[in-house]
Amino acid sequence: MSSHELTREETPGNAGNQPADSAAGSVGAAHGTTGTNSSADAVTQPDRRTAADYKGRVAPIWCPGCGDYAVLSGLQKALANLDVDPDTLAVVSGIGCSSRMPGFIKCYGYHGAHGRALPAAIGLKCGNPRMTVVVVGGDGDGLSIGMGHLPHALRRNVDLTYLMLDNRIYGLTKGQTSPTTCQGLMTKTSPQGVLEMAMNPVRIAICFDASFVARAYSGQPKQLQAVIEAALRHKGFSLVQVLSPCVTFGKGSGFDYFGPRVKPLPDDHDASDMYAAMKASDECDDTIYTGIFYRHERPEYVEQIQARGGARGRELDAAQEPQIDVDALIERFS
Amino acid sequence: MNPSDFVMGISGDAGEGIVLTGELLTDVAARSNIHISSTQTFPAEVRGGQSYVQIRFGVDSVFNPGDRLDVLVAFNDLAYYRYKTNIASGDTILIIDGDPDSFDRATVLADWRGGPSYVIPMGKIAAEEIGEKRSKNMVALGAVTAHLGLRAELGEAVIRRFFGRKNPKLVDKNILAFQAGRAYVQQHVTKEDHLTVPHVRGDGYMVMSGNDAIALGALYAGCRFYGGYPITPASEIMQLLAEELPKVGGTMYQAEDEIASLAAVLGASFAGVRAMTATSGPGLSLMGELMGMSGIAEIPVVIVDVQRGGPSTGLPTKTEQSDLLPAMYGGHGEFPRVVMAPISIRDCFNVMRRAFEIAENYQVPVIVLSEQALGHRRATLPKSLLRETPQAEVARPLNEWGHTYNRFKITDSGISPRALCGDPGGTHMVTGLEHWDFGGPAHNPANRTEMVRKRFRKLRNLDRKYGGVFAFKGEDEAQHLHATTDEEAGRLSTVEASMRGQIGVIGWGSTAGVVREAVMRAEKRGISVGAIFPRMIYPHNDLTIRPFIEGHHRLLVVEENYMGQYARILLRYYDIDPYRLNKYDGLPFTPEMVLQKIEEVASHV
Repeated sequence: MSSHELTREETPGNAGNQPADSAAGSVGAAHGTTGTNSSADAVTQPDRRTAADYKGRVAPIWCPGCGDYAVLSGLQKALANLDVDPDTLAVVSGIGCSSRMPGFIKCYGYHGAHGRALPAAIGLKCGNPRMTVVVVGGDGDGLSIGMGHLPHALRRNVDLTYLMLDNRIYGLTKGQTSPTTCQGLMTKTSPQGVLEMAMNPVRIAICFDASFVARAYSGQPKQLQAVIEAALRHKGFSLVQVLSPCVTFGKGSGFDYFGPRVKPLPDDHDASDMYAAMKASDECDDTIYTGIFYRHERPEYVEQIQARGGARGRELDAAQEPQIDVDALIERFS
Repeated sequence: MNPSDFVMGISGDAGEGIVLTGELLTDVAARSNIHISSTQTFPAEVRGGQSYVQIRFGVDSVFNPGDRLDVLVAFNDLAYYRYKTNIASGDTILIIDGDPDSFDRATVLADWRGGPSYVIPMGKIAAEEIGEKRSKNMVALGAVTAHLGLRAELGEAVIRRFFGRKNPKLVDKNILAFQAGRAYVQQHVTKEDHLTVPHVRGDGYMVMSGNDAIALGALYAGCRFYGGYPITPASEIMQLLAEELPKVGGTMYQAEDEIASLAAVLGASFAGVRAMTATSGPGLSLMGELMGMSGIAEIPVVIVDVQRGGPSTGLPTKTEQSDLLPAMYGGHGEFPRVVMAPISIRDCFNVMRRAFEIAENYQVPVIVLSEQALGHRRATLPKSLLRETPQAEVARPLNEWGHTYNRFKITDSGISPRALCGDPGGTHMVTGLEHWDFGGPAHNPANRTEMVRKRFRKLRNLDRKYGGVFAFKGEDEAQHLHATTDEEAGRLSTVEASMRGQIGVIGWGSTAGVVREAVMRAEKRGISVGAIFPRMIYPHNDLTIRPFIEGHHRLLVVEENYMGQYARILLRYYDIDPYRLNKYDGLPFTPEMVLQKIEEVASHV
């Protein structure tokens, strides 16, 4: 069964829109290469992985009450539901509070330079397409210093799951303005109020025709997990903005702010309609929708490279390594 | 005029196909078993201004494109006036276009101070006989090959191949133009010189540029991921790998900028394939932070910098050796790295193989400093280079790492066992933060101290194993790559022989070709002079450089930069006061310039 078939079991566009375990029943491989799992097989598997199997060697150091704990937990549960082998899981990040995630998860973790998680993850996927690759980072990492990379990752449609943990503030550096800080808010670097309009990552991703765009909220962990699962199952680039409040520096954007505003997308939202998705993505009104805004299929980047002979990754057997056609090369230069 | 070693210059408007004429001519020579070394200059813009190709032909190996011209082929009067003073002697041959639109023939011929001159109406033949003015360069190719006695079928073969790949519809017309050029020479030109290329037996040579050789060296070294961003003068590396990597299951990834390029290379290397990028100065500057990531996270990467005139955008199409200090010290913080510099086109191929070996075995970034003068120069290489060089065996077993696998385990060598993505039980985290041996972030002062020392321990003895040099004295050339085999040890004694003398020339990179020739010419004039070129510049190779420095009375450091970057490095290690020869006008040294300086130094001895 392909990953596409799995995603089609859900209500089109709305898999994660209800804060319930609606998607938990559909279990399968997150990546087509290893996946012949069906829901039935998975249920009868006696030694199915649990969230505890994805516990890393580093203990989380986030502030008590930080929204990021819910994302870590949701990701671990989603990985368990999909039975992803930690040896074939890579979590790639940049710099920031949320970017510490790779150490907390049992996986091949890459905690790289500020803003450079996406290109590192793409290189990783090309270098070993058998890996399930999750990218984690914050709003500053992804939308400010790393913004130059986002449109290119979106247009390439590499099979990555990008969790952007948005707390609307620079938390690790103790409270400076971020690209998603609300206009007018006073922070340490905007004592007279933020002049710039806040960025909306969901809208940006839709603009670049991302193949999977969703928003979730740390305060609604079940829906968060369902959205992450759907994103992991999606073949292609998936961007999930997670509203994940900073309880220490995120004034004006705490759980008390989001609580009454966050609502699931309406049942009749059509996730194949780009313009409807754009309209629904607004964050500035009293309502902030969560769920899968936009989803469609288009060719995946690494598979296209593979179709042209490349991205074979590391051959497990040296004898399988393609050999250079020496005569052809000599002919080329003679 | 020596038919076994002569220099030809071809010049015309940019856009007239000058570079192509030169390339096809070198291909014909290589198929005729004649060695070539060629260089080209062109304006930064694709069209407008003057293009120029200089080719040196030799029955024996040639080390550089030479200096003064034995033959000048001028496509128009501007080209003629620009290069007419650069002639070797009163015998220099002039071949000019006879098209009255582009040439005032009588004025030019009256002005000419060289030897026999031949007027070939190349433009007119192209326009009237072929009906395609743009085929003038193929008429010229026909005329020149006929004049030099190069065989017609070889010229037709290279034209057929070139246009066959580009657009098969163009083949016939260009062959006709080539034949028309030859026919004109055979029917209308009375040869007044003795320049006929000698017939040499063999199965022909390959012709490639330094950039080609870098790409092929990487391919043979097992590189299977290239991440890069187009930049002059390095793009050809990327373009060749874009074609060749998919044939061996690899990936060429065009990133959005140089930061993303190196980030992707780090990701691919972390995933388990050998990976590289190539750039020029501006890209190297952007890669500074991630070089440090490679250093602290101990992820092998190979970074090629085909240097151009800097700083900032500088001289994009011209050569310079001004990125040595940035390569050695660029990026914040302290981390081990290796800097290498190939000395020739053949060496570009070999250095890449060594660079990947070092990067992988020592888990460090390796920076290879090439130059525009090397990257865009073309030279003949024996086919055996590709036929006999083994393709690197990349160790890639899937290891069982177990529960206590510590990626950054403290070891005596400083090198820790590296699990690759997908290895069972090898999960771990790498981070740009300082870390514990298992990978988790650590600020502990004792651990920090131990980790920094562990990383730098990796460089210990690296110069003993990889600190190769090239040494020249008179006609002799010696390579000391690493003295771990008997053969290398044998060469070492030749190196030692060149360690003593009056004048010792030290340089790095592409200047080796001109320095070698200058050393040979100086010796013929009775000057005792030798030269040494390190291939691995950092870590410093004291083992071989010290005896050379101690064995000479006067030292001359030759560099294509203003600051004397390598001389400054040497001053840190040795109490010396070397003469310096520096050039930073964007053009490479010629043997004559180096020879003059050697003579000047000799007069002081």
